[in-house]
Amino acid sequence: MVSNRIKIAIVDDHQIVIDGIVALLNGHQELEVVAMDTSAQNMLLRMADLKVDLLLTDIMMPEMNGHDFATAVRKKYPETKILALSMSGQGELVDGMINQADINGYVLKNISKQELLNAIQKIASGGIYFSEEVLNELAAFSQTRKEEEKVQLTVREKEIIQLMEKEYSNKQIADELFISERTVETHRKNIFRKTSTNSVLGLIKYAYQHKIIQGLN
Amino acid sequence: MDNQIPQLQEALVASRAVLGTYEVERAKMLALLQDHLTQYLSAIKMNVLALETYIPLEQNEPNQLLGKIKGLIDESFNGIKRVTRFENARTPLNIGFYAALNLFLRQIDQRILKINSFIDYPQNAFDQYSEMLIFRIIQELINNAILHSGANYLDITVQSDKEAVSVIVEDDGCGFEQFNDKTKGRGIDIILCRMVYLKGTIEWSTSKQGGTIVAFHLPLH
Repeated sequence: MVSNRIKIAIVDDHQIVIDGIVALLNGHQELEVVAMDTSAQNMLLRMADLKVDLLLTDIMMPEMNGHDFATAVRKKYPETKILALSMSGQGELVDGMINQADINGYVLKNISKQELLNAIQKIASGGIYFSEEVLNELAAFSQTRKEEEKVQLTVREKEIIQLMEKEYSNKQIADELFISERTVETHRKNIFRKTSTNSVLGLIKYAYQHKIIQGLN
Repeated sequence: MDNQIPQLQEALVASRAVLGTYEVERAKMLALLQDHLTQYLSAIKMNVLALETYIPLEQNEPNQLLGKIKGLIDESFNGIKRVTRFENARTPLNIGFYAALNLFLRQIDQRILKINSFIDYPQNAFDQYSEMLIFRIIQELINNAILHSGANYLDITVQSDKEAVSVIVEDDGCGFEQFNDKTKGRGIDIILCRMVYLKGTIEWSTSKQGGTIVAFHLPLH
């Protein structure tokens, strides 16, 4: 008789975490933990003799990290679904796990029992599962990558442009704003770089065009 | 004067040794928190969740106690996460100043603090311990902007010329004076100590609209 139970393998370099997961899954007849290991490399070899439906793996592991491990598992055992279980949901890490290692899910280790069971069921039946916190981190990471390079002058830089337009010297600007001349000079370089101008005249023109300085009525 | 030079050199070597030790200890603490303590916490939580199934629903008191324990574990877990959120084992000591600073800036959620950065830093402008200090100063300033000043936007520039490396960090938060009143000594003393070691100058100011601007200049020779 072929068992319909979901065969699970667990890898974490902390035995206490493995024990915790096993205790959590204990009593659920539809799940069967068939292998546990604190070494990803060992598990990679052991999986050849086991038909693992779902691999629960840590990410931060000393000898072989979760990213490399999941990539190897995906290549060697394409039928096995992978659920990453980590302390960190940093966007960059999750992004790498999804796009390069092609995992099926990612949850944090402070997950609730019900959420873990849902994630396992959903992934085992061919779906994907990412906990809300992980999705949030991923969204923040994607936004950072997409961020466009555009000119953004700060309030202080605008203040300095306004004083430059009044033909204040660096020293006068420094006195006016209670800062050092060196700081004024650094601001000036920044302003020229950000506005792609290289002369005060060109900068003033830019400032009028972009309404940083308002003309007289 | 000549007699003082060996003494100054000795003091410099000693300071660097202290800095090195400090960074090693910091990395150990980080590893202890991130790799060890949180693993124990999650293992404890999993066991508590497993225990929950053995307590009948009608037994209110044990269930309430378990609920409290779970809440405390989550609180501890989140506390560690908050403290170590922007900490990274990859620092200027092992990946260089430019890469470490970029990595640190990339880790910050742009929805919490939108960052615009420009980094012009010549490789090896300073020795690695000085680079570490510059990195820690910037880290402290950005942490203050996130945690205490309520800023939404931060602009950071690192500029270099033949004489110095200049850094300006400007945010649109509540301003230095208000911030300083509320949070006396929050990392500022440490920044000033680091500045003494680097022989640089630092100044805080506030823009007309209230944000904080911190500028520091570090002589190259």
